[in-house]
Amino acid sequence: MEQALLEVSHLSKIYKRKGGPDFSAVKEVSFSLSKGEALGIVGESGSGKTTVAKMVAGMLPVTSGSIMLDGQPVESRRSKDTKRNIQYIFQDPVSSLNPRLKIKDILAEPLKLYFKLSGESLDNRIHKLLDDVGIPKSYQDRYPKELSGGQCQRIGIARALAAEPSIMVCDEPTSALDMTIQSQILELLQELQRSRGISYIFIAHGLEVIYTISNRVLVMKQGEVVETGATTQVFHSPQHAYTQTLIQSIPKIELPYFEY
Amino acid sequence: MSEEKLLEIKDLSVAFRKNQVTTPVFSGLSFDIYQGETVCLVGESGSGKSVTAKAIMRLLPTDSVSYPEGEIRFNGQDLLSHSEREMEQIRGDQIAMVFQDALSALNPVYTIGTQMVDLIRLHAKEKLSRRQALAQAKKLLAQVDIRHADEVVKQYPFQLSGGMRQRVMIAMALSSRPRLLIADEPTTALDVTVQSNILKLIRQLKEQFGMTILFITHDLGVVYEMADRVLVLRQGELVESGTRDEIFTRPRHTYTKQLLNSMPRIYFQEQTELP
Repeated sequence: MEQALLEVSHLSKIYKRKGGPDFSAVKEVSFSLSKGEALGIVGESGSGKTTVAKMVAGMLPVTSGSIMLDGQPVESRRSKDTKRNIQYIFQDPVSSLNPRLKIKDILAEPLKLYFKLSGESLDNRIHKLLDDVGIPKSYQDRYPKELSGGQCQRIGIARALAAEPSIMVCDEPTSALDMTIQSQILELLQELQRSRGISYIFIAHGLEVIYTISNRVLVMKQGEVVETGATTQVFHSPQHAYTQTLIQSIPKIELPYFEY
Repeated sequence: MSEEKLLEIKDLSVAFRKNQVTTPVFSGLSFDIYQGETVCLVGESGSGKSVTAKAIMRLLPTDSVSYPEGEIRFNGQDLLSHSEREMEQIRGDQIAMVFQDALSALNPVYTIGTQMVDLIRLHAKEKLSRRQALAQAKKLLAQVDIRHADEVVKQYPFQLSGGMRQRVMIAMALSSRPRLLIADEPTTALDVTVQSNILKLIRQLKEQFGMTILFITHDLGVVYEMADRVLVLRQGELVESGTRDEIFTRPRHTYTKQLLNSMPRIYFQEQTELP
């Protein structure tokens, strides 16, 4: 069998509380991610979705458990290359960009850090990245506040792409966006998945979004994985009682599919 | 649903004024809401959904907003010609509003009980003691399915979950039995399971009290579950209106089609047809 790109086993996060019982935000979560696969994590607020994502991305220390990337254990002090390989896309597209930097400088940071690019090759790479995410080249001299939310999220994606990662962790990347913009961003992410084989760990509370983008789904409740399986299987024949409630709660448009 | 118009908006224009420059938000907006129906107002951010809601309640800042033209008739009265004092009789009493962000809509330094008692006494037809008002508050909380009302009235907003806070907001909105409930994205910040409970609750209350509802949302799934009629707004212009089934099966305007096509869908129907 092909080796998984990312192998997470028995990942836990415990918060110590003074004078009270410890709080387990994530309990023994295990999953794997293959190349080019999109794994959706669903669950209500407080279920530990973001905590898992942040631990995978190295933004939060792990209490126990292990993360293997490409067959190699990920140390708690991550190497530069591991950091480069797992990139994060944030929910709030505007506040996740430095307001004092121009777009080109935002994109230049990972390019300088990881690839030591400068001069013309740096400029060319920035233009290519803007082109990849569908932002006109002329926007490079603008500041984030001069862009719309959807455009800022495209820049957020371009910044993640700049590092040439194999995994992108997307934490509610479209929740702050309008529906027509959301569908454009999802299309962009799917296109990157096809063309570059990027794998996603995708968090969204909108189950329709998860259904659209994920190949496999992890259902979390109170820090635990209650169900996992192929997206169509989980959505169409949920096994766990909680998943069933979740699926039943989706506002349904009871009409057969058609393009309008 | 009856034939009686509860709310009539005729050629309404709203303009924002800043540094002596007047910018129209929209002009010539017209629609009616009939007694007992649920009308969903959909559109993207900046389309004027919330401005419409706030204009009806006259909640837009008076120093920078003007209504150059048009009428808002509620129950036959022209709200735009009402004085602030007359509006206070309408707001909360005949038209109530539920906001998206219940945490910031509630006062953080008073308990739920205190806030509800003040509101109930303010709108009461006859004088009520605080004790009587508190009993009413608990009854209202029970109506929105809050089972431990005795505890909740002693709690502060931050101690409640998002779903509970939204229930409290709805209970407060219902306290005066309003004829029109304006719900501005009431479930957008909530989890799906909680959302489904709140939507069910609003539908139940509508049936129970014959309330008329103006429901603002950008979620078309929610629209399909709630609406009798749908109004599609884009950049301050009403591009299409129709019954729910007309909008979802025979949308006419390109923008409506675009909106419907952009919604991520889960195809439960197809699956159930499979052997």
